[in-house]
Amino acid sequence: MVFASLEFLLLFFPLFLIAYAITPKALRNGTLLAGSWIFYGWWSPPYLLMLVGLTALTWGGGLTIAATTAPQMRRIQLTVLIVVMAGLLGWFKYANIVVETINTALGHAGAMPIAWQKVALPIGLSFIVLQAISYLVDVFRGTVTAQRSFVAFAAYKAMFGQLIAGPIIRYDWVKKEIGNRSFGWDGFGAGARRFMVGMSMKVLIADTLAPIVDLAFSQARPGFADAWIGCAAYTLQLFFDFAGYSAMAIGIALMLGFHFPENFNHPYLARSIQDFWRRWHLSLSSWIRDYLYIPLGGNRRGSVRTYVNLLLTMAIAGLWHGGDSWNYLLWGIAHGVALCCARAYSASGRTLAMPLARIATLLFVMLAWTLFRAHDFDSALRMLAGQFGLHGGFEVGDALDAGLRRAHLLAFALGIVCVVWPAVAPQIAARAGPRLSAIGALWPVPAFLLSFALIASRGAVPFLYFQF
Amino acid sequence: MTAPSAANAAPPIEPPKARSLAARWSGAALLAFLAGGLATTVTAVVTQRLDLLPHALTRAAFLDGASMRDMAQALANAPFARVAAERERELSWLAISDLGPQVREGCPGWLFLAEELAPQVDGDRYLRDRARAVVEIQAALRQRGIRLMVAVVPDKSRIETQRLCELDRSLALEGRLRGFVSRLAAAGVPVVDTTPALKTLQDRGEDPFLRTDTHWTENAADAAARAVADVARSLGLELSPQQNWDVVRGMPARRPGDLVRLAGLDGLPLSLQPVPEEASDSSFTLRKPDAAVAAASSAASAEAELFGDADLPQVALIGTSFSRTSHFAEFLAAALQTPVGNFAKDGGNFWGSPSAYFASDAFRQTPPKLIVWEMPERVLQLPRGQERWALP
Repeated sequence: MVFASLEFLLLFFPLFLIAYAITPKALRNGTLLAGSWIFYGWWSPPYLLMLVGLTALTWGGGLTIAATTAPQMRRIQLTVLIVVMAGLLGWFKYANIVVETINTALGHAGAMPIAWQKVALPIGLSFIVLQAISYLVDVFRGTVTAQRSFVAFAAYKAMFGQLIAGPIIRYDWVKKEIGNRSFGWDGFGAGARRFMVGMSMKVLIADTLAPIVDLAFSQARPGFADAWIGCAAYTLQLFFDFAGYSAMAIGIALMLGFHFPENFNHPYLARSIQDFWRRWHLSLSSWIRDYLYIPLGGNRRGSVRTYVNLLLTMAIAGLWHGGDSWNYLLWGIAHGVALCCARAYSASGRTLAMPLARIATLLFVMLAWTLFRAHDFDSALRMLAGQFGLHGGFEVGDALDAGLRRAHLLAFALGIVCVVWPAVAPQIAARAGPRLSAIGALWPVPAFLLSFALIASRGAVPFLYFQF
Repeated sequence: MTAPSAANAAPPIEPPKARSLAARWSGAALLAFLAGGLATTVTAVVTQRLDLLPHALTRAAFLDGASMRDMAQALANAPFARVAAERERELSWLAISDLGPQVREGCPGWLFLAEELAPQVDGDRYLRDRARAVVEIQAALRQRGIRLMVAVVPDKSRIETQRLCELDRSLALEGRLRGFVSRLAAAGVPVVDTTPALKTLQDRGEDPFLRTDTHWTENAADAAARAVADVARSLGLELSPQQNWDVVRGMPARRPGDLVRLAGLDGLPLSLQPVPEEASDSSFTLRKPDAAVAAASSAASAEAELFGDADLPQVALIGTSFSRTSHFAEFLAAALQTPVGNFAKDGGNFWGSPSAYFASDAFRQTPPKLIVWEMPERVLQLPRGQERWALP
């Protein structure tokens, strides 16, 4: 189920809130667990078994590691559990493309291809696995105590607000609230507002721009204008889709008495690639830093090793994103190379002027998004060729011209305003009086109502990060 | 292990007091919304105005999520959702003249289907596939003693170029119709491009297409039917029974356009809708045959009468809503002087009507002598999907 859908807004969420409110405080984890399992199993009940199985494995694994004193044995237990989980993720995510790649090679060699039934990726598996690994590693490191109650642990694991597309909530961040949280009017109000903001980001901007992105990326020879319009639209779509989802997740958590950390911090205002990764998908970037980059040695083993670690970490992060194309791996490597270049550049003592640094960073991020969005390498090359003007087409092409409506232009403009808003907000706030501020603070309510009307009018659009 | 923070995020612009006030109001608004949505949905289900499970709940349907998808689709008819969707469309039109994803406005009051204006991805391949399918179907029908002819209706935006104003029709679509027609003609399929018939009307200063509707006017349907009948007659088929109709052109009356409905604006007061239009609605009366013709006709059909199908049409019309609007089927019957069985389907695109007709008892038990297959230009390049374009 998705938040921006009629079944969630008209049935699931109100019924869940009623159930949650009337459940005694001590039993609320049970209600949260039941609701979350219904939420997850909604589209495909059999996958719920996989979630339950992974939850049981992680919970049992945590208790086993905690109960073992011999360091060697603890290490073996942790390794086995991580291999099993990563293997499961690898199978579901990469089996198809590996076989496809082998078949392509066999085809070139004139050999018979491998007969293959495509494996469907269970929704949210990437997030579920990362969360499980972080829990097991934290138990192994002794930074968290293993949760003894299966219901409490399963409720944390399945919490529907963040189950499918993050943020990747670590147990450490919510362990207190899993045991004791308040469900009150203040939290509900703040959460409701956040939820409405997220819904507006997703529906008013990301979903409105989606058809333009699809049109631009489906062209055989996109011209310069079309390629850049498509890339810019996707840059906005991806951010507002994912940041919108995160805002809804944070809002739902607040309503239920949890405090999730922020997952985005105005990433398109970044001044460098390092800065971008300090602002984009924070729960993932902090995860890869703490569980991948630092264990690999981070920057503590000399400069060559640092560059290797950077490349390797970003390549794995790219690989984590996608299983239907090698483009994600290339995207990760591109970011790895950019991080290495940025590191070398700043080590040389040189700096770029601030506006130039921001523009250069955003330009690189956008070009990398082209690689990220294209279905395969050939499509990415076509799109990039268009962006570099190799296909001509400095006017909007037929397909986009026919597809572009005022609503798209409005969403575009709104998206750009929202991206640059943090840079100008303080000056505006200083000029606005208290009454204007109070009225301004209420904007999420009408925006949410308009979002609901749009969902009803055009149907639910899945979140982009569901595929990761 | 610290949670990622947004310490360097821009501070919220509202003062704390305004923020907490807004939070309280937001909470109340969301609660009211959720309560209203749930209450109206449950009431609609209880009073049987909404069926959340239109198909039986089976184990298989539950396990593959089909039942939940059904429910999600059914919820589009929940009172809250329906009202919200209608208001959204109306508000978008009134605020920014937006007609939704499927409709575009050319010159003031002239509406066009967005699908007509730009080529589809891989459209040429789909067009070739369709042409090949038509040729194969014609051959298969021929083996059963049935003739097939195709009538292609050009896009409204191809004909009404003077009414496009700011709208651009892709140049890539220029050869679409000609390409399809020449493929069929080269393969020996009798085919009529109705464009010249419609252009003739235009040369007389008349618009062949309705202003707020995808379809043609009655005069255009009549002109197209005559062009189709001319080619049908050249096939040398003896079609019976012979019948004639008296056509009486009705007075123009208000005609709600399907593009207004598609844009979701038909609920608005007329004064707020795109300018309404009027169209005439003809009536068709079967002319009584004179005595000599009746005697000859009854002798000829004596054998057929034995099985009760003497008066059954020997011409079947399959196709889209073009065959069901502006009396195209009736004009065709009048032009051919023989009854026409109309098996066209609204919204059937390329294969909706043929697939239903070829699988029907009407086709199996009383096959026609001639099938006229009407298809709009815009469906020729649509993606194929899972359809199997062949006789069953």
